[in-house]
Amino acid sequence: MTSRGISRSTLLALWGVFLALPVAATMLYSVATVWRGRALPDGFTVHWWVQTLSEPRVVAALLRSTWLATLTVLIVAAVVLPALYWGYIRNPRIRTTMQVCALLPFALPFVVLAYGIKRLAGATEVTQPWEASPLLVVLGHVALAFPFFLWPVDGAMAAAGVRNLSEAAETSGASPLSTLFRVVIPNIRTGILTGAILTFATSFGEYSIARVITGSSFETLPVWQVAALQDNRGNPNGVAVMAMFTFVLMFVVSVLIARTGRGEPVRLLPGINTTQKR
Amino acid sequence: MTVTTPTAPGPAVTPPAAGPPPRPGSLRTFLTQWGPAIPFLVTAGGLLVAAALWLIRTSFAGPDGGWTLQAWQDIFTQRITRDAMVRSLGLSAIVATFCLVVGSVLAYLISGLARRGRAGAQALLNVAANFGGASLAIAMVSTLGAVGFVRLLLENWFGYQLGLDLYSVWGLVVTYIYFILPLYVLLVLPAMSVLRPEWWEAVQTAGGTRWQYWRRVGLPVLFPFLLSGWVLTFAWSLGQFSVPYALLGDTTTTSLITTRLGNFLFSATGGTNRFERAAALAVLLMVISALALVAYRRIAARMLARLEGLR
Repeated sequence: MTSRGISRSTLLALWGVFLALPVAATMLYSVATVWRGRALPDGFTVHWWVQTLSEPRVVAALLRSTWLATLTVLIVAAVVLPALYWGYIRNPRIRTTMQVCALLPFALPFVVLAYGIKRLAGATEVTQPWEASPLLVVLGHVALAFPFFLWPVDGAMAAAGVRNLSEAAETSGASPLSTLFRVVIPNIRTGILTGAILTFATSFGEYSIARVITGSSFETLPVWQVAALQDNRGNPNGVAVMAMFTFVLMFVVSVLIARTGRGEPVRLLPGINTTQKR
Repeated sequence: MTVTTPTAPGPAVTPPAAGPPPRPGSLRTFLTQWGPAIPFLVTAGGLLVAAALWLIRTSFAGPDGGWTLQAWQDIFTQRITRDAMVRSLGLSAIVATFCLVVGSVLAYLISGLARRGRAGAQALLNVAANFGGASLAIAMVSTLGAVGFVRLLLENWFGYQLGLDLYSVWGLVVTYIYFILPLYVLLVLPAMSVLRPEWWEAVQTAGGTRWQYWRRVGLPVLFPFLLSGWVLTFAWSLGQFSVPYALLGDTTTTSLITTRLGNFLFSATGGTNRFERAAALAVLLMVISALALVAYRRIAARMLARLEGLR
């Protein structure tokens, strides 16, 4: 039994090392002075962090990604919440339709989705001016990230018994809108928070939509990262700084979700968890 | 519920809304039933469906706006593109099969941990599964690239020359496994609770070995769960764009379906109907992913029914 226990921990530890090594390497590169031909860097410095985070192009990309992700979260919340709420209290078929729609982004790889939206916008005279605009990028992010908001919120609404809540509120004379804001939303705060964080993270790290739709005129952080990685005369340490920055951000996001969602699987896939809830 | 199909024979000029029996204000009924969902249906569902349909139309579009099979014919006859398809499918099959073999064992090991260990492992896997995209490509270059950490470490401490080229299909396999293996494990982890300790005891009582238990009981029970994981992992690998594009860029000798699509879009040297060919490749990816998703859902539905039976 003990030998089985040992081989189990060895296997898991090996995997842990494989998962940790790239993060460690990125961290070392982001603080290394000179690192040539030796196992470890010659010295350490915070110079790259200061330099990269004060470079105007990087700061602009970072800000762009941040507002893009924030806007995506807000729009997703604004279109999903009323629809889902109505699906619970009036028309159950809305909820079924939404569940089916939430599978669509998984049948369309993101690069395909991006190209489809771009072609669609270019197809008519009216929408043509927006064919390569940031507006279309926002729309694309909304279309691909909404399932990550829908699933936790749907779970929270089911758990909170939204139907009973709103019936009680309506009997006391509240309008549907004030019921949604005063009764329902406060009861599903955890689900909304989890969904918002997931949507933000998905949108923040998304590369293909911005790249395909705008070329490189709307440079989000991932677009900058790929361009800087492929640039031979670029600064590898600065690239490592921004990768490390993203890792830390994703780590914080995951910790936040684990704390709000009580350790449930976070990256929900169209799978076991969602089907069981029905 | 909102629209009743008129069964009585009537003149074709009658609009359906006013058909027998007359339903005063059926538009209003429709609005009260579906009203708050309209913004969602337009931005999420409608946009996705319209984009998909328009891609299909584009892939058959000729230079004069007519219908032609030229783009489809081109992508299957052009050597580079055909190679990219084979490479993409092969890469995805390798990654998915590796996940099936190794990931299933890892998931089983994690399911055997104590409650706290399991929760901790799950949280870490969530972090790893979210480390995709451009940042992961950078991290892999820092680790296995020409002056990567691991390469330098092996050379300096053990005098070992690492043969793996990061900018090849095998480099991509390692990179994909980094974030797809955690996804696979998270996906099949719930299935591991199906295995009952009583079954192993029963096999032991009957004089069976551990191997016989897995061969006759464990694996047959788990198989549909693992298969559905394989299908989803396969489709997931196939649709990756940012990681291979960041690592391989425009190199045509190692292009995949997705990066080939990117080539058609970003470089002007792709020929006259490059946008149509890009659309055809996109439709191809879409069809494979959709089929994989349908297969996954069917297997998932079947195994859930089985799960109910086991409980």
